[in-house]
Amino acid sequence: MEKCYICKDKQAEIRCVIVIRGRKIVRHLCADCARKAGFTEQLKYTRRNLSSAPKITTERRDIICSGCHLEFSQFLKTGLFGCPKCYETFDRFIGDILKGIHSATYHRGRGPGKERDLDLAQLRWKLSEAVQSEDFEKAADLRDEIYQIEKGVN
Amino acid sequence: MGGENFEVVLGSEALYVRNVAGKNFPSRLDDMELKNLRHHLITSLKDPLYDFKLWETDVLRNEDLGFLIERFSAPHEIQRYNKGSALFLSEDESRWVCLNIIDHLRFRVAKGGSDIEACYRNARLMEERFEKSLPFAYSERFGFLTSRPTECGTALVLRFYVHIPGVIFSNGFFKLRDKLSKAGTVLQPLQDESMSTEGHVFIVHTAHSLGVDEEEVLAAAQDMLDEIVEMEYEARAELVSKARFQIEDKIMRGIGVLTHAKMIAKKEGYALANALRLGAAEKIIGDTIDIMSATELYFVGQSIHLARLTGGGDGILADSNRADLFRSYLKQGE
Repeated sequence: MEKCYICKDKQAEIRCVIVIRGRKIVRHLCADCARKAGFTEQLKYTRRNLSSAPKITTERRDIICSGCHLEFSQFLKTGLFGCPKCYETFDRFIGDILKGIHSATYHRGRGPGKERDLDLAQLRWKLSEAVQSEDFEKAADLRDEIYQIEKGVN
Repeated sequence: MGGENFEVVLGSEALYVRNVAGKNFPSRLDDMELKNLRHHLITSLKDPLYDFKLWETDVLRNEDLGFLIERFSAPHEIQRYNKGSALFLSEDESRWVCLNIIDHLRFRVAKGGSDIEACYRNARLMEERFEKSLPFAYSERFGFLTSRPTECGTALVLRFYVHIPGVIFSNGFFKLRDKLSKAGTVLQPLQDESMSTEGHVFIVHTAHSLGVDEEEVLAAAQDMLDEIVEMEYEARAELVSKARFQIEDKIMRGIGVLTHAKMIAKKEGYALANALRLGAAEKIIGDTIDIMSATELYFVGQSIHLARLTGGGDGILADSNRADLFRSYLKQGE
């Protein structure tokens, strides 16, 4: 039984052939590590049918965001992320870019408003979504919840 | 228009970028998703923006969008990202809020002159109001999350438009550009993409939004602005004392062209506006034109403004219309 190349703990399930500057590197990964590395589409291939799994040939850049399915190579072309999750997915690769632009990689400014305001904003947004999708039962519950929070403060 | 240091600083603005938590950014949404999100955002912002005009930009003609861009009442990206987007615009056009243009929300507060702090404080107030109904995408590490990682963190950009012929004529431009670059501020020409000193109006904006807090961004912008203003006033004073005839000659030639030319091309019109603005600011040309009218020439000489003010036309006709229009401004000041 082959262990995952990254965590050295779980059983390897996915065979990846990564091409970096023309050099092929074969790595066998477990499902969790593969997901973290961005190989989300390939998880259906288990150890049992590993030999039948198609060879994943990818460049280091072609890591895919699980939130919006943006490939890193697409980001390099457009300079645009696709969703908030891209920041986590591509974290390892944008450090140098951010440092080059901002001379920093960590936020130091203020955060969003108070926790209560954030909760209210979330609820109001959900209420608006419920109204738009005509889910009036849910909308009534949300409205009551908002009322309770607002009443608690006032 | 107008305001503190208007002779040098045409205007200042504060721009905030925000996205709604848990939603894909506009570039990863299809047309239907964009329209749904726009409807949703409009519903949430209707109350805080009750006195703003609202346009859904995909129903506007390119010409209308171009008109708004020419007068800085909308970002230039609005033409490229007009599907499923919308624009809220205040009556005096000093504040706009764009929906689904690169990010879910981009909003700006502008003011004539150098009062960048007032722009920032007003934009901050708007953001606080929006925060009550919109949960913004935020992470402890990257701050407010934006489509462009170059804008994440505070997701705040402070920008000003400066007219610096003094610095350019006294060969101080590249020194100024290097100084600004070292301080994390970017200087770029208003009209031309290439970095040339042909035009005299430049956009200066902050480039750092990560690793700094909002007050530091403001302080850095304010310091740079003060430095540019001081440098420009000093350069103008020196030019007027040491090379008054040459400067006067340049400006008076400009007036000569304006008075008699039958055709003025766009680029030439821009150069003339530069000369007249300097002449008016330094009181070299008497009452021929005041600084406000000279500044207006930057706007009215552009293609869409010109077409709307003079009834249209291309090529020779447009240049001829521009000459007539500019002359009418000159006469107003006489």
